[in-house]
Amino acid sequence: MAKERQGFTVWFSGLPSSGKTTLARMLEQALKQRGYKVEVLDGDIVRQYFSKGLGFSREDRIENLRRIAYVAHLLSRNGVVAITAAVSPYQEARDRAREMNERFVEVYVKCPVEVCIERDVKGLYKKALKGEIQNFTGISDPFEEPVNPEVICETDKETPEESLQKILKTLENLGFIEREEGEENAYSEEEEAVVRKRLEDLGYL
Amino acid sequence: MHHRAQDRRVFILALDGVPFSLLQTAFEHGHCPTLCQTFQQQGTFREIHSVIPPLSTVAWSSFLTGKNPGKHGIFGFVDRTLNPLQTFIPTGRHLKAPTLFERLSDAGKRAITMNVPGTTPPRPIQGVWIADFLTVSLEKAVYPKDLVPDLKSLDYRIDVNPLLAKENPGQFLQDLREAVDRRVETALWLMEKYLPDWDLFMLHIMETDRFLHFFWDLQTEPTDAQRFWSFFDFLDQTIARVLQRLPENAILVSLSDHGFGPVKKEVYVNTWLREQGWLRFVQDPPKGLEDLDSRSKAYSLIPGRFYVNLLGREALGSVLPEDYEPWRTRLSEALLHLKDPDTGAPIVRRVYRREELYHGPFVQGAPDLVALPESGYDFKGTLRDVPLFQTPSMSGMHTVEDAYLFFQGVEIPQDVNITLYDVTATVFDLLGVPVPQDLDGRSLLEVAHGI
Repeated sequence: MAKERQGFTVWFSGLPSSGKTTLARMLEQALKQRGYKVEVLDGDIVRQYFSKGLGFSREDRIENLRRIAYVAHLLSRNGVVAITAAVSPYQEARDRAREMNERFVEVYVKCPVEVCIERDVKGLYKKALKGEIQNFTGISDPFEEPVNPEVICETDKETPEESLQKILKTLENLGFIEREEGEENAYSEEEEAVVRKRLEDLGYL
Repeated sequence: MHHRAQDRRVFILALDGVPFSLLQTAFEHGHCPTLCQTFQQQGTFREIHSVIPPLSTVAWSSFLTGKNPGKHGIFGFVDRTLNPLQTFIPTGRHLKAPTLFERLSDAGKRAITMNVPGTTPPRPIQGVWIADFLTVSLEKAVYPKDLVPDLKSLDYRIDVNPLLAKENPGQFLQDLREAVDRRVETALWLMEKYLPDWDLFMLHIMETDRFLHFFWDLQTEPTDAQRFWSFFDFLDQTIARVLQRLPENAILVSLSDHGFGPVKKEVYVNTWLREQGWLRFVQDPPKGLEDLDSRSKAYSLIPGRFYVNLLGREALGSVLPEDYEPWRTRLSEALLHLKDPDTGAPIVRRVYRREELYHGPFVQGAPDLVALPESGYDFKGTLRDVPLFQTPSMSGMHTVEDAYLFFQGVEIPQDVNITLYDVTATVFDLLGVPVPQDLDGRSLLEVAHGI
């Protein structure tokens, strides 16, 4: 079962369709494989369950992020890795989240708005551009670039796997996760030789 | 089939490589009576297709994650790293998506998995995880570890000894039977004694694949056919011990991961690349891909996976990014013109481009082209300078077509196409767990009758 380790918070921020959810889910999987307990607080899901009624005004958004930061705090102090994936456009709100969470890593998922519009995973940019959605970050509401994030993932230039490796490396460097040499190797050299031989005998190599 | 989802269990019987057509022939001739009776009861029994190329670890990884390899990262029994350029044996550590077992475990369900290719090393779940034939010892194959002594006392076998197939076929057959017998006995102990309140049980039998690789040709010789079918009759009797004791609320799903067919010739496609002047090494025989000469244009890994030696991607890349597409086209056309020198018949049925087969964050590990052979041509991947065509060392090879699926009580209309990913999604649905939205399949219960 999952090892007893200290929790921490990974706070993703970035424009809609920049790749936050993809990276958050990949990070979740990578950390689970290393034996961590992980919970992802996805912006959309959070809004459904405990921020219902809050809108997209600056005030409401800051309140929504405050709630997410508090839940992340509750989780991480109980040994769970809390990964948040909400747009979180305001520096003020991100600063507060950092104050609330001692072990905190901010990941800025950077992607030009033109590329996000092209991706438009949920079709929201289209609506925002037509004026059907108000206060839409990147179109009709500002995204304040993070001042000092621990990691910047440029998702228009890097593959998701490269971005994931950057995040894992930072978590290792901060001592939040253990450095596992040869992490991906299930075999020692001798064992790999045995397995290769077996596969050769079976005609699989 | 009247149980509510929360009271249901699912038992998955995985018979590696068993063709749909072989089961039909067996049933027509009175072989495998238990499977015949079981698969012909209410439900769906039909042919399905494997992944392309049809490899067991890839097919089962795709099934276990419900996703195409571009989303889980396993593309073969051997894959390559780009820098340094070399091959490695991927394991479950390289599987970058959660499995059915882990997701069910997260949803509070108990799962038992035995022997499924791609499940080394074991991962912690609420239940039991026994890894596959790519584990080096029983001690490293099992979660939770305290099960190791029990499995030893049950004389559990991870795999047979493949060397025996050539050295002593009679003993190899005996070895296969013993391994199946022990696995089934262990399965019974796990399902009735160790964890009787399991929700999902997946029992995988590898020995069918082993048997068909080495003994496919027995069925064509009248004098040997008896030996061929007696193996399947033995299998049937052994599996019957489990099937007869499945709890009343368990739904049986059974499937294979690919079909099988005869091998005519082994084709060493890297030799062909060498002959075209597109592949060379700094020394012969090369130690591995790391000895690739940087002027090389392409290389291949088994079976029929072709990679452009791309500048900026491969450590020793030579093909400029703007020449990537022209090279893929050139390779693809040349492959389609490759002929059997004895008959003049084409060897390659179709060449797929990467984007036709894979999508997702891990496509970087995927081949640029996959050549699907005409029936009977077995593409090999050795880098050594060997003859292009060789007499096969084994008589059976994997096929994309002719895998099978049986779904007890779930009647799926004939015109509905079924993928491995759909089967995964359906298992979630049957167990009352919401089907994860990131799967590449959908629950067949949406279109089925019966449940």
